[in-house]
Amino acid sequence: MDYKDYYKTLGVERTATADEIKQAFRKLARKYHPDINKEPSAEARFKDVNEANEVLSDPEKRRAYDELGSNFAQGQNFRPPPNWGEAHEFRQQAGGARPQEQDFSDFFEELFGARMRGGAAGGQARQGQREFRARGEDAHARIVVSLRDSFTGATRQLSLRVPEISGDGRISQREKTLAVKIPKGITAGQVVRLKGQGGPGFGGEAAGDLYLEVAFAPDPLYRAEGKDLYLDLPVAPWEAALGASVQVPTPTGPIMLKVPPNSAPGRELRAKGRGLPAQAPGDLHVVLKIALPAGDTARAKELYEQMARDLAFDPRAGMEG
Amino acid sequence: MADPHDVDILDADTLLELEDLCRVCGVDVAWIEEMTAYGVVAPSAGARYTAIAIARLRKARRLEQDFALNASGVALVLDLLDEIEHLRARLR
Repeated sequence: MDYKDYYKTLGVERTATADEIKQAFRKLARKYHPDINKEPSAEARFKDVNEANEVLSDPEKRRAYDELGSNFAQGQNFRPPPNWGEAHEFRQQAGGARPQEQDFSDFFEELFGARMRGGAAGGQARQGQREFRARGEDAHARIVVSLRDSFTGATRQLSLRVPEISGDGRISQREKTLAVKIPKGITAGQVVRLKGQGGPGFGGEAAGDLYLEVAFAPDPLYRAEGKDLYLDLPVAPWEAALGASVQVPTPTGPIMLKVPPNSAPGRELRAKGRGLPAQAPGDLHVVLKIALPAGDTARAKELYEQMARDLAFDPRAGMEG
Repeated sequence: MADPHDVDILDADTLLELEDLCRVCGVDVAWIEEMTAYGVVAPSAGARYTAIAIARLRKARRLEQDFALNASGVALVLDLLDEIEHLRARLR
C-alpha cells in the first residue's frame, strides 16, 4: 500500500493551522471539481484533495496521521504500525456512513476506514435480521463512449467500485465489471438505466438501479452539440472564392459538398441528417476554414505577387482611425 | 463474459413523475421545486420533468454541497458552466 502525503496534496506545511488547511482545501476543490475542470485528471486530483481534507480537517484523524511521522514519502510502500486499530478508534460521523460516492484510497481505508465502516455495517446487518426491508439504493456512474459508437451501437466494459457486505457485516469495496450495450443514437448528457444493477435490496426487496450518465470522448474531427455534429473543413482560397465540389468526411463515409462561390471563412454549410442517428437525425454542420498555400516556391511567390498587383484588396479596410 | 446488459435510454422524450425524479436524484420535492423556481430545470407537460433533468439536478446537487452554495449560486454557476462549454466548443 502506498503512503499518502496529505500535507503535500493540499500544499500546506505540517504545521499548518486548521484555517490554513480549510483555505487550501477550498481553493483546490474549486480548481479540481470535476463539474468545473474538464481535464481528465481532475477527478482523481479532486478525490485526493477530498481525502486529504477528510483527514487533516478532523483533529482526531490528523493527530493519528501525524503520529505516523514525517519520514514517509508520497507513494512509499507503507504498512500501518502494529496495534494501530486498538490505539485509535474513529467515531462514526453523524448520519451513518459517508456518501457512497466518496471512495477513498486503500491507505485511508486501512487507517481510518475499515473499523468505522465495519461498525455501521454491523448495525445494518443486525437490522436486516429484524425484518428490515428496503429497496436497494440507486447507483450512479459515468460512461465515456466514442462519437462513432453512437452511429453503430456498441458494447462497452464498465468497471465500478461497489460496496459489498461480507458475512461478518463489514463493508468493503469490490471491483465489478459490467458489459453494457450502448444503443445507437446515444448523445452526451443522456442517462441510461440498468435495471437491478444498483445496490442490493434488504428483506426481499428489489435491488436498486444503476444510472449511467453518457459522455463523449473527444473526437479528432467532430464535436457534438445534442444530435448535431460540427466539423471544421479546410478549403483552398480558390475553392472558397470560385466555389467547388469538395469531398467531406462524415462518420458514415465521405460525401460531396458544394462550396458556394465567394464563401467567407467561418461559413457554415449544413449536411442535413448527417448528424447523430435518431428518428429525426441531427445535422452535420461544416464550418469552412481557409487554408493558405505557403509562398515558399518561385511559382507561388509569382502568383502572390500577381494578386498583390492586380487585386484591389485591403484586408484592413475599415480599421483606420 | 456474460451477455451485455440492455439499457433503457432516458432522454428528452422520457417523462418522469416528480417523485421518481426525487428518488433517482436522492433529493426531496421541496428541493426540486426550489431549483425549478430558480430556473435550473423546468417541468414540461404537467408537473413532469424530462429525463434530461436527472444529470442537471445531480450536478446542481454536487455543486450546492461541495461549495456550500445557495439556490441562486447554483443557478449562476450552472449558467456560467453552460456558457463556458459552448464557447469552448466554438474554440476548437
